[in-house]
Amino acid sequence: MLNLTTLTSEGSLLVMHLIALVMILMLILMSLRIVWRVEKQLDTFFKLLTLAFFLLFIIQLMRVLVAAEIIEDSLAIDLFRLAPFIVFISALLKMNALIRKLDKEK
Amino acid sequence: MLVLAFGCSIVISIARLTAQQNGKNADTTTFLFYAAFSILMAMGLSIHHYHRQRHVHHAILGTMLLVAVLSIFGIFIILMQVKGASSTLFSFTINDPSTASPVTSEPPAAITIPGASYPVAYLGEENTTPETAPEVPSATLRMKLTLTDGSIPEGGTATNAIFQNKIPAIADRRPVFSGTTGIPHTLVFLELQRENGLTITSSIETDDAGEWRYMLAEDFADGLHTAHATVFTPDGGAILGTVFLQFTVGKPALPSADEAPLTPTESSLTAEPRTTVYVPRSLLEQRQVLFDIRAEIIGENKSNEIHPGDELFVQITLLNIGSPGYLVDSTVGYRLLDAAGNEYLNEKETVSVSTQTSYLKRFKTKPTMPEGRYRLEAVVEYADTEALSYANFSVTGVPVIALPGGVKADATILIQILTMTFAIAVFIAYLEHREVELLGKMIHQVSEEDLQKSGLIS
Repeated sequence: MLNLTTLTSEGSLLVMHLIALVMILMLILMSLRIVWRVEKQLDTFFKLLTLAFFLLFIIQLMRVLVAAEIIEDSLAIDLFRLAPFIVFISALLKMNALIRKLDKEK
Repeated sequence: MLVLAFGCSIVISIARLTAQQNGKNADTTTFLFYAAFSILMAMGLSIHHYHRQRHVHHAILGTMLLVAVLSIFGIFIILMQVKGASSTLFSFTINDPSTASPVTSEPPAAITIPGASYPVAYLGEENTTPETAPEVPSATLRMKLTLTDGSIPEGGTATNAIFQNKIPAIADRRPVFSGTTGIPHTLVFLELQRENGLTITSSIETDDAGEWRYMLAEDFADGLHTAHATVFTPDGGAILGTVFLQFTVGKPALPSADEAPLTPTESSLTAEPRTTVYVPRSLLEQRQVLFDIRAEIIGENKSNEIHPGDELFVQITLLNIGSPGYLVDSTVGYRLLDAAGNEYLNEKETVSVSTQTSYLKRFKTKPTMPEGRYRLEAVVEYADTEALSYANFSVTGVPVIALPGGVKADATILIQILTMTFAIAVFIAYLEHREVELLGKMIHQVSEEDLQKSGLIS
């Protein structure tokens, strides 16, 4: 049975943050594979996605360091958490514009 | 540049491993910076030299593999040295009898004042008749006031037989109180009364020579202050005597001759001929002491040394002296301070006390705490009085972090794991990029038109 007390202990929290960090690295690697194989506006879209994943990686790295109490959680870190979402929105706007162009929408 | 990147990776990794094996604390920030620098340098060189020199590929590949292998080796060594530090969990205990107040294991003790015909408080169950008062050994109790520069102002000494000859006026707001009881391990209950202000109480145990020393953690306010030191026997069962000192901080504020006269049980102090000085009775004498608090650090080593990031276990004992037997809510505050007075922790909680409550409190320190001496203050507040106790400890050694299962490990293992993960990711990315570049014109770069042609987009 799942023991929530164990999961929320300091050590377990750190391990979960590390697992998330590895997963984000896998996201970066997979998006890089695509970036190197596409061009034009598709390339731009995936580059934006990769940038967003990279920002997520930095944020997750900070979370790991905060969980290990090496650095303090601060307002600057909270504000930085907004950055990947801005890039995600930019990427989706780019793809939306591309689809509308290919569909010859006015 | 490539050689520099190589050098950084190899030298740092080897230095790191050497420091680990020697049990020294390497600067993790520096390590992280240089490791990141070397890897980023290698990445940059990989892109820059990719089309020029084939042997550069092998060099970068070798660097990445070396960092990864050394990181794995470092983690293996650290895991072999995983230490439990002082993190052994202790059971939560309530009403554990302490040496200061054996209320549960021995007959209730009475707090009496020499000269008084009645005890001022009982340490035991309500309405229990105290045993015959223990014989109080004779002792000369001394107390003195020492300024920060080490000098003793005129009138800054007193004993329980000879009162101070003058009330000193001092500008120093952090004087040190010290004294001797002549008996080792007696309990000194110190009351610092400010005229019309807050009273701070604290209990101190004398050392093997029967001496004690106390300095308030905050500045004294302007005005007249009275320090009462009531000395108990080591088991807290009887009072050996009381000694007091008065002093003025800031401008002298001697009271007028018309102020309250002395009562038969009060002690008097004559500073000038025909000048009567009112000495406020101690809280113990007035039966206004509601609580006493004691904080004792519990750990595997008796020198009270912990690692940065380790847990601190403190046994807090609260004594309801004023109204034993009645359940009273008290607010207990905890502060963690370094030698310079910087605050690292400040929290409060409410604790109900009937006669005596003893509980184990766990405080988590941070891995970034600098080495040095620290003090944990425990304060219980009630009415206009604060009862204060503190315990000293040292933070030393390598920083540790908590791992699952309650295990503590060297904090640099985290840096090793991050470095290894990052190095492996960069290595995989490099291989992937290399594959794409080698294929060159053989692979078709997909564009949005291709998606349309293949029917993915209408």
